[in-house]
Parts: sequence; structure tokens; C-alpha cells
Amino acid sequence: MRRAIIVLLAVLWVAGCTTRPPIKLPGTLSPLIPSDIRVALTTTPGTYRLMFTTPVALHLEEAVYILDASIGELELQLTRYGITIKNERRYLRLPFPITLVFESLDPQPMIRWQGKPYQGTLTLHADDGEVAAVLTVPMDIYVQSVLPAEMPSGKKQYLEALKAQAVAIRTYALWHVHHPRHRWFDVYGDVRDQVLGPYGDDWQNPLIHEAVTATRGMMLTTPQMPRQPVRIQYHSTCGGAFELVGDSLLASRVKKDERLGEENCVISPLHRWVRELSVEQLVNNLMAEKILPRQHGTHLLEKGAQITLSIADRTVSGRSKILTISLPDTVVQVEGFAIRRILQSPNGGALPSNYFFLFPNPQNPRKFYIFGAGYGHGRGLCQWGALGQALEGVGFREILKFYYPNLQVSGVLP
Amino acid sequence: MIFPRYQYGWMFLILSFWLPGYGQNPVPDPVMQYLKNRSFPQLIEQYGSQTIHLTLPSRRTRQLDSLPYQLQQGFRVQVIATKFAKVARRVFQQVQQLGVDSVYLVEETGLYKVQVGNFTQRDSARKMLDRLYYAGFKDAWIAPATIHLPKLVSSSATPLMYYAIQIFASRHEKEARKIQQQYAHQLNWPVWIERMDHLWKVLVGKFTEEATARQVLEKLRLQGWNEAWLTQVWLD
Repeated sequence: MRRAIIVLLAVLWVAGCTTRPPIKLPGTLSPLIPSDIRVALTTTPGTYRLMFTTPVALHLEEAVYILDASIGELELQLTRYGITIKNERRYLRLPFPITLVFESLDPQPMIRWQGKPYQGTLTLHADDGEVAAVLTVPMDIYVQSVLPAEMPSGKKQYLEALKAQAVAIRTYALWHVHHPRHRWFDVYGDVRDQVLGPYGDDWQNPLIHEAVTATRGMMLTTPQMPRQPVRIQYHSTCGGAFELVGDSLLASRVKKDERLGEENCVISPLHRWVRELSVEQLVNNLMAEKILPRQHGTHLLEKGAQITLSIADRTVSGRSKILTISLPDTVVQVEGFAIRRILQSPNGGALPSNYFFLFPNPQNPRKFYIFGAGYGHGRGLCQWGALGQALEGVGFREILKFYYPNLQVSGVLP
Repeated sequence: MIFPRYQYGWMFLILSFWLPGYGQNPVPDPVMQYLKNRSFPQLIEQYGSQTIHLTLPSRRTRQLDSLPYQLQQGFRVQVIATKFAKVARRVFQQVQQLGVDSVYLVEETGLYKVQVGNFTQRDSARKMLDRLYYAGFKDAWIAPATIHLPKLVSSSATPLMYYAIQIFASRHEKEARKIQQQYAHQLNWPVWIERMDHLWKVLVGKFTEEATARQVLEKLRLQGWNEAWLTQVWLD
């Protein structure tokens, strides 16, 4: 008996000494796909409030600085000539060109930027004429930060739409990791790319968490290249028709956003909208956008004029491409997003979309109406349409197939 | 479809609301319902290529339009015209104390004038002249002047749509015109045609009230128009 116990212990000891393959952490991304993304918090020179909630080390020539919550909020000045970090007790001034890497001493680094909490590692850059504050964020944290800022998550029935959106966010981000916006960062953290929401209550939302974890490692690819993310687009509300995008952004086909005869995005608050604009406001907008010289515009406002408006060209889905404005002695053509700014009302901001038609006000030739549909550029996934489909019980794979029929959902986890 | 008849109507929307900015004033339900119930690509196809003609008024016209009154040639009772502002101001206050409406102190061609009232006819100004005379302003006289008249405000806003009775529809314009001409002199209400979604429709009357339209419909049915029905038409 004693001999048997000794043999058993010996076997266990030998077995314990044998080499084992390393344990793969769940969610480790393929070497082809970087696991982090660099997000620009700002690229504008200015003064910002910064606080390190978890400890970081800043290695400089003269010393290593440990910064944490105990030193409180810092004032960060990003200028074209360098970076200044200061509070009542500390003052660091570093001339350009400079890159400051705040090495995290915590596995879950947290900062407060302009009073809002973010998870990630901060890097500051200043070069001749350029500045940037860049947050390096693990991809899943990035998706989890963007998702609540991009889509409503108040209803349990929205889950499938949230999953579809999570895949879209990840695909967009991964493509930009391979095609960075700038040598310092991959994407902007605002509407120029995807809005990076702060770490907050939304993170506690189980729907967001489930949508991110259930689609972990999934992205949209072409069937021909299943390991390469494609450049996709998505938008808030299509208003009834959207343009298909895939590996090329040339929208060549248009698709109705309908299911069983009902438009999917009808639940959007901007499914249909109406604006009214006066001709004086139009002239003021043209001057503000520097499309019309101020001298010319002022002359028109002083003397009066007959002005005609027409949409000279539309995209395949019917969105306004070129707006022609005929003024005395000149014809102005406005294209793309500028159309939305030219037709903005004094209090309403730019038009929600280019999907509109103009209508005269027969009671008042100084005013006209803009009847529109949707919000955004109208290419790729319609977020409110996806929500509408989710409410009808459609799964996220079907939703993605509907909006990106030429793409497939691929996994990037090994 | 909440408003099934809309799909046949022209969407010449005359909106009697003011929408200064998105989200501030709700858009009237019928307009939004109309837009919601129509396919937007179809609306773009129908209205997307039209040209909008706008009139930018001169600054002077805009200023006049922004006044709460309109300017017109008429008459005022002029109490004094003097080179001295102090004197004019004192007389102005004295006239004001009489409790009369519309007392003005104006400067024209280097003279300070105190004027009373806005009269379109000289006879109307004469009563005011008498009143001022007995109040002690014996040198007052009636003078032609640019007067202020309240702007006329339309008593009712133009409706968004009309009710009408549809009596006939055809794909061919000729047929519709023939029916229109045939019954234009027989019916008590105007008979007109409207092209809606590739159909030429012959309509009777333009009624702002649904109840009135229904009464007419009943009368038409009694006259033998059993197939007639009530429809809504956007104003054109």
C-alpha cells in the first residue's frame, strides 16, 4: 500500500514537471489583427483637464514620474510648441517634437479626460504644428465604449441590433487599424469616425456587455478574403432606402429598407422631417460658408434679388448630390455635406441628411420647405432599421446580411 | 394607410405653421402622416427635380414689412411746426395729456412737428381738428402726411387641403375633360379636374369643412351619382 502511494505521488510529480502548451486567454486576437486601437481624444491645440485614476509612469531623461489619483487633476496644455502639464505643485514643460507615453502600472488603466472617465493608456504628441492626445484601448473595450454612444440600448428586444452594430463597429475599427487616419492614431474618437463614449453607467448595461461578448472577434469580410476587414459604413436612419457598400465605397446599388412592406426605420425620430428656411437665411448661410463672397451677399441683401434653387444631381438612392443656386450674375453649385450646411435653419443646425426635396411656400415666396427623410449619409447599415428588425425578432446575422449582402460575418479569433 | 386618399393628391403643401428650427415646434400631424405614409423614393421621383423660385426682398422692403403697421398717404392734424425742439416737446406733452390716440413728434426738413392721428380722409381729420381747437390749440391745421395703418391680417389661414367629391376618374385626359365640360354647367358647385398618380380625376367643389362636403355628397347621390365619394385634395 505504501509502495502504491509512493508510485502514485511519483507519477503525479513527473506529470507536474512536464511542459504544457501555454493557456490561450479567451479573446486573444489573431496575430494578423492587432488587439489594440489608438483613438484620438483631441487633435486641437488647447487646454484640457486630465487625471490619472490608476498609476502611470512617465519616463523622462531626468526622472521617472509616477502619476496617480493622489496628485489630483492636472492642467494639460497642448500647443504647437510643446506640451505643458501642471497643477499647483507640479510643472512640466516639454518643447516639440515630443511624445509622452504614460506607461500604465495597472492592468486596467483609467484616466479622466475633461472630467469623463476612459479606460486605456494615454499618449501625448506634439510636433511642429500638430498635437494629439491618443488613448490606446483594447479592441473589445473600444467596441464596448462606442456601442452605447452609437445606438440606443434601452430595450431588451434591441439586443440583436446591438450585436449587429457591435460587429459593424469592430469591422470599421479593424479596417482603420490597418489604414490609420494619422501616424499617431487610427481613428478619431468623435463623429469623424466613431464616438468613443466614456466609461459610465452604460458599461453596466447587460445588453451592451452581452452584445460585445457574443460577437467577440467577429467582423465583416468579403467571402474571398475572410481574414481581412473591409471598409464599411453605417448611419443612423436611411428613411426608406440605403446604398450598398462593401469592399469599395462606391455605392452602386440601392436597396429598400423594408420588411413585409413596412419600412424598418419608421421608429426613428428622424424617419421623416420638415424644415423651413427663408431666402435671407440661405444667403447668410452662403456667406458664412464662404461660398458667396461677403460683398456680393451683402449687396444682394441690400438690393434684393430673384433666386432659384434646384437639385442638379442625385445619388442612386435619390440623395442630393449637387444643389444649384442661381443668383443674379452667378450660379453657385454646392456638393455633398455642404448642402446640409447651406440649408441649415438658424436654430436647427445642418440638415439631418441629403435625402430631401425642396418645396415652395406658395404663401410666401421668401420661404421654402425642405421635406426630408433619414439621418446620415445613407450608406450601409441603418441603425434604426436594425433596431426595427430586432423588434421583429430578426437575428443579428440576418440583419447584417440584409444591410451588407455582399459581405459575410467572419471570426478573427484563433 | 391612415389617410388612404392622400396618395391620390397633389402634395402642394401650404403650411400655416412656422417652424423656426428642428424639434422646437411639432410638425402638424397631417403633414407628417402624409410623409410617413408615402414612399420617400416615390416622393423624390415626383418632386425631386422641381425648381424653387424665391424672392429676396431689398433691405428697405424687409424693414417696412417688419413694421406692425403699413405706411400710406393720408392726413394728420398738425399742432405745431417749429425749429425749436424744446417747444415742440412741450406741445407734444400737452397734447398727450388730452388723452388722444396717436400723437407724433416728428422731425422733417429741419422742423419739429407735433401731429395727431392717422386719417385716410380729410373729413375724418376735421373732427380731431375741432377737438384740438376747443382744447386750446387754435393754430392746428390738417396736413397731408404719411400715416400708419394697421396691417390687414387674414382672418383665416389657408387650409392645407380641401375636401372634394370625386365623380369620375380616367387614364385619359380627354375623357376627364369631356366629363368636366359636360357637368360644369349642370351642377351648383365648380367641377374641376386634377391629375393624381397617372389618373385624371373629375372633382366637384372645394370644401374646407368635411361636414359641408358630406352634405353635397348626399345631394349628388340623390341626383344619381351613386359612385361619387368624398376625397381629400392637397391645395394646388
